[in-house]
Amino acid sequence: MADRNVLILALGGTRRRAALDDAALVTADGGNATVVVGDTALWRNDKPAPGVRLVAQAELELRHTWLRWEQLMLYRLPRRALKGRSDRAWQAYRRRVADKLHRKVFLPLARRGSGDRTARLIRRYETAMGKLDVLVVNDPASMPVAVSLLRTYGGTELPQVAYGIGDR
Amino acid sequence: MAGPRSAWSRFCSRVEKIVNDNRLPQVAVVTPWYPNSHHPFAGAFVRAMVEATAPGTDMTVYHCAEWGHRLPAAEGAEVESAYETLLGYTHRPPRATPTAGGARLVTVPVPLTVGLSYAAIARRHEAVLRSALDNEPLAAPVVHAHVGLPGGWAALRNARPDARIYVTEHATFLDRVLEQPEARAMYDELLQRCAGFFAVGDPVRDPLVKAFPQHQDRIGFVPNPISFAAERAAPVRNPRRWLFVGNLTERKGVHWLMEAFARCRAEDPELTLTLVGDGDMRRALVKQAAELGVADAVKFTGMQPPEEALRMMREHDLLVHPSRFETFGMVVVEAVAAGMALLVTKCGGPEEILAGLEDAAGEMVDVEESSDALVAAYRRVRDRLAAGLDLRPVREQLAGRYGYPAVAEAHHRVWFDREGSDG
Repeated sequence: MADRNVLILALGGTRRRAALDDAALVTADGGNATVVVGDTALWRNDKPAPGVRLVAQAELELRHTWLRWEQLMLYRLPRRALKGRSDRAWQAYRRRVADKLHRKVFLPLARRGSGDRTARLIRRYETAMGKLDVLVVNDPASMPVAVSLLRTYGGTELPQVAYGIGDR
Repeated sequence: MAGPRSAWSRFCSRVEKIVNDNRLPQVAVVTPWYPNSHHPFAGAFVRAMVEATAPGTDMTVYHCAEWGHRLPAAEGAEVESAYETLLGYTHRPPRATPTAGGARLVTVPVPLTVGLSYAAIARRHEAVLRSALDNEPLAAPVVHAHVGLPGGWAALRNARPDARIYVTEHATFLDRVLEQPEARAMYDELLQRCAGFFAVGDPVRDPLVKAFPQHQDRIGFVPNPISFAAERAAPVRNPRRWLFVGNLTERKGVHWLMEAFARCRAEDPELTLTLVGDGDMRRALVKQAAELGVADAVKFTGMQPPEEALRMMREHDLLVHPSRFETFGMVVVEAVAAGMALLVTKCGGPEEILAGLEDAAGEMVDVEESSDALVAAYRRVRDRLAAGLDLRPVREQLAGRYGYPAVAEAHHRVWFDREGSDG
């Protein structure tokens, strides 16, 4: 496992213990482990082992999609505009308008056809990380994304696919 | 040309016969439970059975691991379709890893929506295993499944037509399975078609015999195997280090355990209690320990791998097992194997295990909704150990019944129609 790049898809968060145990095994063996998670709130009480990267799906979306512009328009510019006025006005705007629009309108819009889109984001992230050696599909919700991700590879560079580090 | 060809053919047949005669008999084990990183305790008894029975066979374990989810129906269908594609990457051919006893382990996740009926769950196991096998039947002529529904059903529907199928039932939720008409009908079919059916104890056998009196003679008994290999450093003389191993749930009676511990510790401040396991009562127990003023003497280790739990047994003196209901009570035999004294409730499995040996291993008490019986029993077992109670004879007796060699022989006898020694 030394120096190998392992990506663990745990988007549903229903098998968190297995995801973190697998990631810890990889890093203990000298490899690089990245766990991609969906709802970060589910992972609040879970501590990844040192060296394990926990990457939120939303973080990838904010970094790599038009949501960057949404963030600018919805949050950064209004904040700048409200600068100087009371903090209460900004908090009220953020809570009543920006957060609601983000959660209920823009995020669902960005996640339409999420399997392919998330797969593309992960692939972009993974390309920056280096060649992927093993893809671990950790829970049911990750399966459609895993299939989309595998479709982005050519036949020769395909990573090994498993449901756990011990299953390979 | 006919001469050399037939000589070659005869030679090939002879080589094939030699290979076949020396090949270990193939056995497939199909189970929904097997220890893994997500559930380190789940199906420890299945792994023990594999460890005991695999030597002398060519065994493959198919662990059909349920991956429950609460996704909406459309997304659930998307998952099923994606999984079918993924199996092409992961299971064709099936990828096996080494497991206990020299057997091979093939893990087959079974994604399913939480809340399905037992019949639907069993059909899902059947379909997923078939898909993982690429629509080929299990190659082994002997298939041993664990848990009637879903394991037995998946084995029955995926075995080759001439295979002999055996089932061991362990489920504590059997009554709920039999309450559902479709599941009950499937169970009936399973009992009719399998070559042998075993319950791990009377608490499992009794409801089955009641539900299917026509199959009464087909439902036998086989215990879970326990390793008696490791011994503790010194015999127990003072049961000060209490241990509980299991889920921290209402059914395990852990609330009464904590209360009993606090009462006993008021008499002897040296007492400690270790709870190995996890469950929905953990928080309440931490709070209860604090309220009773014993928090500093109580340790919660969380879930531990089976090997670690066994090691801890050898470092503790008294297993307190206040469960309300158990079909077998593997932990009780493990504690005896580790040389511990016992304080257990008559909750089904344990009184069967300790039949005729009740006093030899410690104390057994009735299931009560109070801590009085546990406290009184602790005082008795403490005094008896101080007076020289010897736990070795009960250990030897149970090794003869539940040790690996005894259980392996029982399995091999039925699988391969071997004449065995008595028992």
